[in-house]
Amino acid sequence: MKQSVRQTLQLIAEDLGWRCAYEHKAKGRLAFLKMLANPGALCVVCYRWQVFFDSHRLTPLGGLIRLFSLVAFAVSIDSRAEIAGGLVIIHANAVYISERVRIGPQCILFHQNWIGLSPFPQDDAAPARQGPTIGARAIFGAGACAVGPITIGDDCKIGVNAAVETSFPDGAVAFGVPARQVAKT
Amino acid sequence: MTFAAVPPPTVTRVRAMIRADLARRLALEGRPPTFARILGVLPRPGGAAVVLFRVNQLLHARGLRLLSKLAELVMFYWARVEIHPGAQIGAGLVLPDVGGVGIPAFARIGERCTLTGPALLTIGGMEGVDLAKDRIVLGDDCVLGPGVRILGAVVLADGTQVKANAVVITSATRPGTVLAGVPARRRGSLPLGAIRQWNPLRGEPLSGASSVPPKPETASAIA
Repeated sequence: MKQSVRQTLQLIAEDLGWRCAYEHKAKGRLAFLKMLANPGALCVVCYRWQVFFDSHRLTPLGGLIRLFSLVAFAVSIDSRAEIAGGLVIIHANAVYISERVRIGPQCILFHQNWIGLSPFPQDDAAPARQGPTIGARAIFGAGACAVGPITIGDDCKIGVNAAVETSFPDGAVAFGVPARQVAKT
Repeated sequence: MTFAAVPPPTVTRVRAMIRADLARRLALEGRPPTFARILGVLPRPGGAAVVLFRVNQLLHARGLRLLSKLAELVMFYWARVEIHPGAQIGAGLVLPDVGGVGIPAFARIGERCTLTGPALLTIGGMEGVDLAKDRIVLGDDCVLGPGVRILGAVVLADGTQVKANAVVITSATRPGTVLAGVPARRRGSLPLGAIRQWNPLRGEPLSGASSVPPKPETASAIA
């Protein structure tokens, strides 16, 4: 399915708008422009255009944008990941999102978040290989990882440096390596 | 432990190693190792870091310290990967694109190992470790998940898998161990034969590329 320019701009506006709300700033064109000097906001914008170019079969252009965001910010988001509007990356540093990952609206990531397919060869052989499915308004602490075919519900909070390898229900607060549910919001 | 038997890197061996590294990376991505594909991997941070590290080993062995430092700097700014050229790493290494990897000179890594995200191998800060003789040893076919830290003179046997965000401070001498947690504990094991079968590039002849990583010895040498 092709993603139009209008849709792309709308998604970017949602991303930057949610970032404004998170940082308690007034929304507006000036605020959005100011944000483009922010690596975290810029790499999300890069990702949206990457998806745009990939959906129009301009894969080399999408690849170039991905390379730019890799070298400049060390942020690698696969354009095949399905991420709803309102993605916020607070610190652009070593964030990795692989293909076959689904993330709901208004997700907040910090640095060194690793969300993706299991890298271990025994899971490679699994028939239906899937990455994490993450609900709306999830917050990932710095260094938190989500690995493998798991489902995380809406409004979940994943603690700092947690390693999520199992599914969690809506509103769970997960902490630890491997992550356990410590509270419910 | 003695590590004197490793041959110095030569141009042919380095070239074969680079080819094996990039081919394995493509195999993990499910792509054929054609010339165009290999060229496509080169600018990406993971591919560039591997190539720079192998070339750096050559420069380091020839005593070109300034060039070697320069290569290390380029590697850091392009890929955010810091690998000391004195580290001994077997063919088929795969590094992550997002960087955050630190491997010191006293690390020794076997063939076909995968690093998937930020990872740190270090002896610093651990007591009772003699930098002159102690090493961090990873066997063949090891997989380090994202955010793994390995501290101290730790020996991990062939096919060890370290899950995400684990902090490894003790050795795992049984092949195929699965480690997880802070501090990392054994959470199961897998047959080594199956791990080898799943791992791409098994048994492919690497002409002149064999670095002959040792069979990990017992943990008796660990302080």
